[in-house]
Formats: sequence, structure tokens, C-alpha cells
Amino acid sequence: MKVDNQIEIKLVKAEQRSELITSISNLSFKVEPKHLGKILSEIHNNGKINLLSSENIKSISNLGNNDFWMIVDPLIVSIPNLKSRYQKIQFFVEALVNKAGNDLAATMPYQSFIEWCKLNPDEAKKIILAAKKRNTDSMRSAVFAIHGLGEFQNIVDFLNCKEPNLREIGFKALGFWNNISDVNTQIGIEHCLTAIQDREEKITRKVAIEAAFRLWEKEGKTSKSLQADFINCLLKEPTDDDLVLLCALLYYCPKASTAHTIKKILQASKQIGTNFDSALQWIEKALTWRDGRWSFPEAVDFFETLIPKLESPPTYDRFRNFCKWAMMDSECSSFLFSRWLNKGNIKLCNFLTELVEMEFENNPAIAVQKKDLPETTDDQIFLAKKCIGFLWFYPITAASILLSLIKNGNKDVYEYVEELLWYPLLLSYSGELKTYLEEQKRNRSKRIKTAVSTLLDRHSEYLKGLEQAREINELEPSVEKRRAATLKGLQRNYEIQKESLEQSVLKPPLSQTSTLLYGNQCFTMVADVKGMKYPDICPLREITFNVELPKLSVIDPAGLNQLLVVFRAEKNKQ
Amino acid sequence: MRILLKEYLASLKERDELDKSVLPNLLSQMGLKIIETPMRGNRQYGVDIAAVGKLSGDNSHYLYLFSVKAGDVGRSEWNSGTQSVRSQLQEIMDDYLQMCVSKEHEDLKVKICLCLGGELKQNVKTNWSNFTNKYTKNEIQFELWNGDALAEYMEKSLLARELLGDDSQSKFQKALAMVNESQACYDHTYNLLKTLFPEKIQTGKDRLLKLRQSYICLHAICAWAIDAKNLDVVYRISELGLLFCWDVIRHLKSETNPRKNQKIDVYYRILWQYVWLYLSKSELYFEKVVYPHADKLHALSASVKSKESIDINLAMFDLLGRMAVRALWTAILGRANSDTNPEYSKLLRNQTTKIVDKLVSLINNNPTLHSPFKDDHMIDIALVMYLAQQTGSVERFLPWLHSLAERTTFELITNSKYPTCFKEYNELLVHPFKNDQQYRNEACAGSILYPYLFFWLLKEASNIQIDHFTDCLGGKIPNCTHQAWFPDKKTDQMIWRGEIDHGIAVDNLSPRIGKEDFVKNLNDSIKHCREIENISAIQRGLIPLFLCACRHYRMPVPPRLWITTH
Repeated sequence: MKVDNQIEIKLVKAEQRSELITSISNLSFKVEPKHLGKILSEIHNNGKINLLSSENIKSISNLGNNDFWMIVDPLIVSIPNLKSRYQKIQFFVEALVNKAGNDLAATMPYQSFIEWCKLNPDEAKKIILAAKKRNTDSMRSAVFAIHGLGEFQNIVDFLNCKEPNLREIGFKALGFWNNISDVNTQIGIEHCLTAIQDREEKITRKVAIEAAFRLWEKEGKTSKSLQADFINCLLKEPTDDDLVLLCALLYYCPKASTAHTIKKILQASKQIGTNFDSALQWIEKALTWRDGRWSFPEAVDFFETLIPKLESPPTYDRFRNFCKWAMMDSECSSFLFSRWLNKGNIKLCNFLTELVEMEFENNPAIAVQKKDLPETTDDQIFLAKKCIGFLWFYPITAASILLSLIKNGNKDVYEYVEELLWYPLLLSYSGELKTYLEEQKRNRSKRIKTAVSTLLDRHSEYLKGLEQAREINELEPSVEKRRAATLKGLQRNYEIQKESLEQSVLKPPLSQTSTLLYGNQCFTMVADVKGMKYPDICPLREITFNVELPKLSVIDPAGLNQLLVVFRAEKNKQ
Repeated sequence: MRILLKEYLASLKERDELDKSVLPNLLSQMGLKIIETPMRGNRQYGVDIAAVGKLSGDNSHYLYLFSVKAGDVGRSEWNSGTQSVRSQLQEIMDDYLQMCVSKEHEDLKVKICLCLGGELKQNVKTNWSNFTNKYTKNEIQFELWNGDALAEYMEKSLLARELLGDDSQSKFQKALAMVNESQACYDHTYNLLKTLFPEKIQTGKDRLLKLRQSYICLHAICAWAIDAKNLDVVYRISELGLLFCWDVIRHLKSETNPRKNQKIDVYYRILWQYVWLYLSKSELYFEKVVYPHADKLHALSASVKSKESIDINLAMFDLLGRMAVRALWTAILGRANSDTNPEYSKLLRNQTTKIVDKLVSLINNNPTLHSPFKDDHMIDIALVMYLAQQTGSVERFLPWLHSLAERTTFELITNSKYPTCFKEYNELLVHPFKNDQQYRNEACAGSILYPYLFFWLLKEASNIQIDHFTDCLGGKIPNCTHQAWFPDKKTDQMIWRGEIDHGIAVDNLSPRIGKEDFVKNLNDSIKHCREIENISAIQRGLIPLFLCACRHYRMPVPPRLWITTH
């Protein structure tokens, strides 16, 4: 108690100096938030301080970001127990929310406000009454008052109002209503459906949609009340905003939708004319391969329609979920690669390249199944070209798709694809690719076995030719030229090292860098929590990265460039 | 110097090299008059070279009969088979002296010389003594000219300090020392030739001496380079020697006076020695570098052993030009000999066909040849097309020309390795350094390649191809000066020695001006810039010699030689 008194004295004195908020900030380091909050509400209620005064609200607004987050917890704890008129509480809460900005915890003061309403039902009723009389301040806080009072009838009253702004309060309150009964859910969703059917104003429509999804989210059963009607009605003439909202709700209310709804939303969202960037982002966040309601082909269909519309190239980081899904299952990767390569869209194909780069380190082969391949010979040849054009730097991935074409493709594609495997692929990469092809000699497919044997025999003959020409020294560049090329190489390496350090997590000042000239272990003294120091000898680890540069880029760079550019740029006739 | 020469003589592996290259020059310079040489045919009854004259130490004129052997002579060389030394000497005694000595030389005493690049081994010295003792008479004597003796004669008569000069001797020795390093060896050889053949006109005797000296020097450097397994420099300096030789004798014209004509004949025989040197050494080069590997995919490109694509591109185009020039020589010589020596002519024609076939293989198997990185690769392309026209094989090369036009424009569009007029290796190494118009304007400030390609497109391509080519050049390098080069009055004086500051540039040959204007401008310039007709080699029907100079010194092939009928 003695300590509490001291805190109380400090706070009161600070209030007298108009430094209450600073004092709370200082005390928040030493006193537990709950305890401090309790003290604050007590001395406010007995009139020793006025926490809700305009000076204090102003001081809160002037706080730095870190200081604000230091004091916000005790203030939130204090709110429900404060004795005051609802207006003062509301302004105080709103000041805290405004100051918190976009932070995820920004709405926490509202929870305290709801608690306050629950403890002060008379004041809460006043808010509702004033809101119904269109008092703008009260309209802002009516949702919290409704929740504080906990009477569903209040929601129904608002929903039955003619004034859209008042119905909006009802929908908002409806959406966040907890422990709702089935009957009330049904009532709420019916109101939402009516709002959609009546083509209510934009804002009301938006909150009605949101409310419906929140209710479905809480609905335990798999069939969702009126969802099919609701979605059908909504998607008859959806606006872009509706569609983006629906995509967002798939993320925020992951359990709300049935498979049918997800399918419908994905299909409809393909038509989105503006803001497809947001739609893509929401779907990317929402989709999950562990949920049977989501279909990979439908997701692919959605992404392949919207990704090409993006201004900037799609990156792996932006679509990590989708990428993971594509690579988790060989069926999915077969479907995706066949479909997008056959589409030939540059953005989609570039995206596949990035996907391979990020996901295929350990198992770079993709087996494209017969059912996923396009039917016509022209399309299969087109796919093969795209495979070379876009997966050029991933020879095993490219070769595995081409081998799938040999195995599952039309007979008249065989020869063309085998030639592509030879030129440019095998002629450029004779390292890992050759090992991979050697392994494919044991493939169950007779077609693959035959093709691979032919290729490897041809390659052996080729290497023999190169070997015989090794004795020629007459065509070698002069010493001066070698020197110039070495200097160029050194310069290039220097640039690469500089750039890699720029992009590295080890870049100073994020981490301390030491350059050890000798040895392969590093000695340091490590301190424990008590400050005791211990010697630590840490072995150094080498991180290496190898990449095989395509030989044709040296032997025939222009020809190779032309081939790749043409393959990449070629459009599917269909 | 004598040690160098002795080693050089010992290194000559073929008898031909000794009796065709070294001895005729040496003996002539020593004062003998050669009456029988292997240049005219095969060995006659044991005699490789017959000469008459009086050497220092001789008390009268002799008929010298030389039996030549490369390398050392041991037991097996002395007495095994019909080609053995003993049987050759016996043939001279039994047949040559009985049947082949002309009336005018019947009264001369005879010296039979066994001429060796190396040594007579100890185990056959007694055989030699017994043989010579048995057949030596008052009018028939025997002499042994071994490597030591030959080196001494060469040093005294050809390469003595007072004859060759300190400067030349030092350059010769430097060239020999650098045979492993092509460019350094070539540079020293070039300097040697410039020293031996100063620009001011020399006296006839001096000129002959220098031609023989330079020939022996070139031959010696080639021999050493072959020993060092560096045939690149062998090719280059044999070609260089030919050009310098022509520069020395180009002003000599046939005379009505037979005595003067005889003198000119001597020079022309030396020229043919240089031609032979070039043909034999270039054949060696192609035998090693091209023939076994041209048919194999990427084999020659990979043999460059560089990770820089520019190295491969430069090496392949260089090879292309060399092959074209070599085949032009055999083509023209084949035709020239068709009546006088049909067998030799057939051999040359076969060689030409072989090289044309290998050229096609080279192009097909080394795809970098479809993408010239340097604008002056036009020279090599033009040489190939000139050869193609000479051999009636244009059709075989047309797809390549179309591919060149397509690739070069595609590279301009995609900013990859498009042809540039930069010549410095360091610039070529990083080209294209940037992707902006300013850089492109610099990299393609002028071009001889595009007008040449356009010329062929006009002849052989569709309007669509022509339009695409023109549009691309107009769009990507609008400021490029498209041009062609014509020889002027100074060209014949300068081109053989590698001077490049001569000739006339015609600059209104942009494909953008359209087919008619292009052809008109080209025709006008051909009509008015006629100095090519006065180029000495062209006047004497030696067009390959002029084209060889264009290739060697990287001077453009003039439009008069863009198209030809054989």
C-alpha cells in the first residue's frame, strides 16, 4: 500500500504540473500496466486527477510513437472503471485509437469502451438514444454501446431504421456480435441479403456484406445460411469494390465460405477492372492447400487472369502461398507448368522461372502428366519452346518437362523435343544435366529411355570431337588478350561481390563484420546474463554457390540470344 | 649465328624443304648457276640439284651435282632400298653422268656433293670413304656438305653480319626466340622484313640478295615455329613474306629484250618460292587446325579455350578469311596450270574443292560465324563470297549471308553483340557496353559490313527481308556512315607493306537511300574510282595476292571485287 501511495502522490503531483502523461510514461517502466491502470482509474474517480482532460488528451497526441505504446496498456486498463459522462470517455478512446494509427492493436481501446458501456448501461443507452437522433458523435460510438448492452434487439432496431447511416450501425454491430444464436444469425443474414437485394448505398452494402461473412464465420455448420442466395445476388452485378471486399473476406473470414462460394468469388473476381492488385493480394493470403474447399485449378485460373494485368512483374515473395501450394503437390506443378507455359504469357512464364529459382533447389524435376498436356501437336511444340525460353537457366527442370513431352506427348512432337534437348540444352549444360539424363536411362518409359540413350551417345561423340581439337593451340587468344579478359573478369567479380554484400543480411551496420585472414575457426569471449565471460571457439562455415554457365553463351551468344528471345516472345496462335 | 643455322638445317624434316627452299637460294648466292632444280620436276637419276660455276677454292668451273638428304645419314639411310644414299650416288655415276649431262657441260669437271641437313654418322663414314675413293678420278670429285658446312656457307654467303646487317640479324634472332608467342614473333618478323626491304628502291643485286636472305630467314623462323608446334605464326609470316616479296618485285614488267627478261625470270622464280612457302606452310596449318576438326560441331570454337565469346568470334572469322584466301590461290593456280601441268592443276583444284567444303562445314559447325562482332569481318565474308563466285558455289553460301543479315539486325534490336567498328580488343571485350543511342552511334559510327550485306540482299533476298534490314538499320543506327573503300594511286605503293593511310572512301551507300540510288552510287563510284585496275597484282592476274593483302592488313575488299565471274 505504501508503494501505491507513492505512485498516487507522484501522479497527483504530476497532474498539478500538467505532466501526468509523462509521469505515467515513466512509471510504466516500473509498475505493471494492470496495476497502474487500476490506480489511474481510482485517483481519477476520486477527483485527484482528471485523466480525461483536454490537456491530457493533447499530451497523448504529442507523444512519440514509443512513449505512446508504453502508456497505452495502463490507460486501456483504466478505461472501463472510469466514472464520467460517455462523451468524455468516447473522446479519450478516440484519441487513443487515432494516435495508434494503423497498428493492429489500434482498436484495443474500443474493447475497453465496450467494457465501460457494459459497466455503465445508462450511459450506453444514452449513446444509442442520441445516435438514433442522429447525433454524429453518438453514431460513431453506438456500435460499442450496443455491444456493451448486449441486447440483440438494439441491432434489429437499427437494422429496421430507414436511414442508411443508422442501418450501417446495425450491420456493424451485427458483424461483431459474439455468441449469436442460430435464430439471430438467420435474422441478421436476412437483413444483409435484403440490403444487397435492395442495392443499398455503397457503404451500407459494404458493411452488410462484411456482417454476413462474419456471421457465417461464427456459424458452426458447414452449410451456411442463405449463402448461395446471397452470393448469387451479390455477383449478379458486382462492383470492383464488392469483388475486392469479397476477396478480402475470404482471408479475414476463412471459415465463412463454402467451396461453391470460393469458386464463385474466384470466377467473378477475374472480371475485376480496377484494384486487381488488392484482389490478388487478398486471395494469395486467403488460399490454403490444406482445405478441400479450395481448388488449385480455380486458383490458377484466377491468378493467370489477373497477374498479367499487374504493372510490376509478379514476385515469389508476393505469391509465396500460391507458390508453396504449386510445389507441394506434383499434380499441381504438372498442371501449373503445362498450363502457363502453353499460355505463353511473358509475366506468367517469368513467374514460373522465379518459382523454380526459389522452390526447386533440391528437386528441380517436374513431371508433366498426360492429362495436363495440351492436345494438339502445335501446342505441345509451343510449350516445349516456352520451356526452353523461360526455364533456360534451370536445365534439369526444363529437361524434365521436355522428357514428359516425349513420354506423354504426341508422336510427331518427339523428334522436335529431342532436338531441343540436344540443342540448346545438352550442348550448353554438360554437368548436372548429363547426370540427370544418365539417371533417366533407368526411367520406366521406353520412349524416355530411347531418347536419352540417343542423346547421350550423340553427346559422347560431340565431346570426342572437342577433345580431339584440344591439341590446337593456334586459335587461342594472345597473352595480352587473356590478360585483358582476366582484368574484365576481376572487375566483374568485384562488382558481384559488392552487389551481393549490398543485398546480404550480413551487411553492416545490421551485423558486425570481421575479415579473418587466416585460420578456419574464430575465437571470442561470450558473456552470459550475469556478465560472466567464457571463451568460445567457433568453427567457420563456408557457404558456396555454384552455377553452370551455358556453354552456348560463349560459343554462340548471339545465336543463343536470338533463339531464347524468339522462344520467349512467340505467341500461341490460339 | 652458325649454331642457329645448324639447328635450323637439322630441323628440316623433309628433303623438299632443303632442296626446294634453302639450297637453290644458297647456291645462287654463292655464285653457281642452277641448271636443274626440283622446282621443275622430280629427282633425276640421283641428282636433286645440278649447277655450274666456280666456288671460292675452285681452280676452274665445275658441274656440281647435289644429292640431298634431310637430317642425319646413318646405316639405314646409307644402304637400304632404292632411295638410299649409296644407290643415289651409284645412279649418278651409272646413269646421270652417262645420259643427262648436256653438251655444253660435257667438258666440265664434276663435283658430286652429298648434301645433308644433319651429319654423316660415324658408322657410315668408312662406307663413304670407300665409295668416294673408288670413284674419284681426275674429272670426278666427291664432297660432303653436312649441316656444319651448309651453315657455314649460309652464314658467309647470305646471313653474314656484313650482308644481313646488325639490325636485321638482331630482329631475326628475336623472331626465332619468340616463336612460341605468335604476335611477338610476327612483330619481329615484320620489323625484319621492313629492315631488309627499305622503301627506297635498291639495286638489282642487292634486291636479289635481300629476297634470298628474307626467304631463308622466314624459312628458318617457320621451321623453328613448327618445332615449337605454333603453326599460327607460320601461316602469318609466310603470308607476310609473300606480300613483301611482291612489293619488291611488283614494278618489274616483261621486257622485249630477252636478257632483261631472263633477269626478271629470276625474280619470278623467287616469287614462286615465296608462293610455295605460303602454300606449303598454310597447308600445314590447315592440316592441323582445320581439316580434321571443321566437320565436328563446336570443335574449333571450343579449341579457342576462352570464356570470352569475342575470342571465339575473332578466331573463327580469322580462320574463315585465311581459308578463303588459300582456296583463291589454289583456284587461280589450278586454272593457270590446267594446260601446262594438268596433274598439278587437278591437285590444286581438289585442294580448292576441299577447302570450299571445309568452309561450309566450318560455318555450319561454328555458329559464331553467323554473327560478326566486328564491322571489318566484312573482309572475311567478302573473301568467302569472292571464292564462292570463283568456284561456282554461291548457292551454298547464300543461306549464310541471309543469316548474317538477319542476325546482325536482330542483335541491333536486342542490343546484344552487334557488329561494331571498334577495333581495340578491350572495347570489343565489353561491347555492347551500354544500351543507349549515344553509345550505339559511337559503336556503329561507320560500317563497311552493312552495305556489303545489303548489296547481296538486293541480289538474292526478298523485298520483305530487304525492307526489314533497311528499317532496322534506319531505326537503330540512323547516324552510321555506310561506306565502301576503293584503292587510289598510292595504294599499290603502300598496301603490301601494311600501310593503311591510302584509298578512297565512298560514303553514300546507306541502305536507307533505296535500291536504285544505292546501285547508282555504287556504279558511279566504281566507274570513277578505277585505280584498282592499276594495282600491280591485279594487272598481272594475281588477284588473290591483292585480296591476301586486304585480309592480312584488314583493308576492305573494294566493290569491284564484290562480284565476279570466273
